[in-house]
Amino acid sequence: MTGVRWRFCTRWDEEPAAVLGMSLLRLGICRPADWSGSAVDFVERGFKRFCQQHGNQEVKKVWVGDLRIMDYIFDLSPRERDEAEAEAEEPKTVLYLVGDYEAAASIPIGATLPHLEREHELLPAAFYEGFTTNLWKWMRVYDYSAAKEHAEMWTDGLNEEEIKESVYPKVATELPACMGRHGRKFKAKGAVQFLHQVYPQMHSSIARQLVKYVLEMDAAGRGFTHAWPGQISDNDTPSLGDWLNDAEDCRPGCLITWYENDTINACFDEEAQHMGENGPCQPNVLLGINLKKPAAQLDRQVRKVFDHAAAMLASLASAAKVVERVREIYDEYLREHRLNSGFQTEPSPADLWQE
Amino acid sequence: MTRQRQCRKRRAVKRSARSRLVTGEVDRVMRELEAATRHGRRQTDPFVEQLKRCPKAFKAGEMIGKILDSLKYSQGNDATADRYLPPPGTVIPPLA
Repeated sequence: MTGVRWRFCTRWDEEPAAVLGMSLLRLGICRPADWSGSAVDFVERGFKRFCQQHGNQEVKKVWVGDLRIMDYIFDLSPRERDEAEAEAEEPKTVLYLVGDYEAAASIPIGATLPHLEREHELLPAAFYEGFTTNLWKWMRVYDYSAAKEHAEMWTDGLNEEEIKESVYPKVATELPACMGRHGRKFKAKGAVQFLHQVYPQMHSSIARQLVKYVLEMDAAGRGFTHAWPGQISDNDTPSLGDWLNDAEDCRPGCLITWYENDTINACFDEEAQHMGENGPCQPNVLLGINLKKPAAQLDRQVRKVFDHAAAMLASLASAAKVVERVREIYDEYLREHRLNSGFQTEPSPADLWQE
Repeated sequence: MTRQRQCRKRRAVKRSARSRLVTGEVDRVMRELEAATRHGRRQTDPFVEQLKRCPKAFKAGEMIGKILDSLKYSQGNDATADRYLPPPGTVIPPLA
């Protein structure tokens, strides 16, 4: 079998991959050594190396998901693919960069906030705002705001007795004092400016590390905004609008709670039970590459898409360091308070998405 | 001075030879990719060439592929699918 490559694709896969491959070769993302005889392999090798160069391994420590180049926005079974290809008159002329998460990364941030507050009264709020704003560029974030919205919506249909018994009123009361007092003081830009200001004067190594990683996140993602699926041009993908109308909101890429199994967690579990019930969920990140363009224009477009991917990976690599530190602090908090770790004996609804 | 200049010259020659080699490689792969955009797959695929030289093996592979496809897509609803499976315990000799 020496010299025989492992993948053989139809012309439906090879043709679009070859057009993209030429652009990637011109841009230096793919190398001549990546060529094995298949354009799909060629693109895959270049893209894999690209992801590794931009912190893919670090991101994987916290987030389970995919960043893929696809010819359809959603996964197709082999049979659906065959049918789609039989109906099509020519190979696909648009490829997509699709980013999605298989599960929401748990970030119990409550125990971290006192460490920050000891440095500066406003630091917890600024850190939280800077961190979540930067996460929002690459994923839907489920946190206190989402839980509050969920609680308000579900409280509407309940009587007083039911409201008392439910978790909904507790969402607001569980808000840590440092966040309640100063939570609204910062908008994204102001929060990052504040972090830049206080960073040189900080003494605690934990707080310094956390702020440093958030500033790294911000630097990597500066100038980028969230590539929501709805922003893709209708000219490139005429049928996308219909699909988006039928699809549900994307699933959150992270769950920021104060402590595990708190009221935010409870609201999330309630919502997660119904996610994807009425149709497929939109991916978190979607960018199109229209292959029917002159080489120079195509290269500009591909560069833009790959710059977005690079920024996403680099920013999430720094975010992963924040999350690991936050989890360590939370574990320490659990040890100090002689509580059991948050490992659940049964998976929560959020863990059962795939099933 | 002269030796230094000679060394520098040799290095420059080496560098330009290397860059010519890289450019040549890029051009070759670019041509292959261009061919793939026109024909979908390369005309001179080594694996396809080997199959062409041995059409019997290709036929056998094609038949097995079709049988497996029909099994894969029947999703258990196709009563005829059972026909493709040998009776339990049958020893299947390798292709002669």
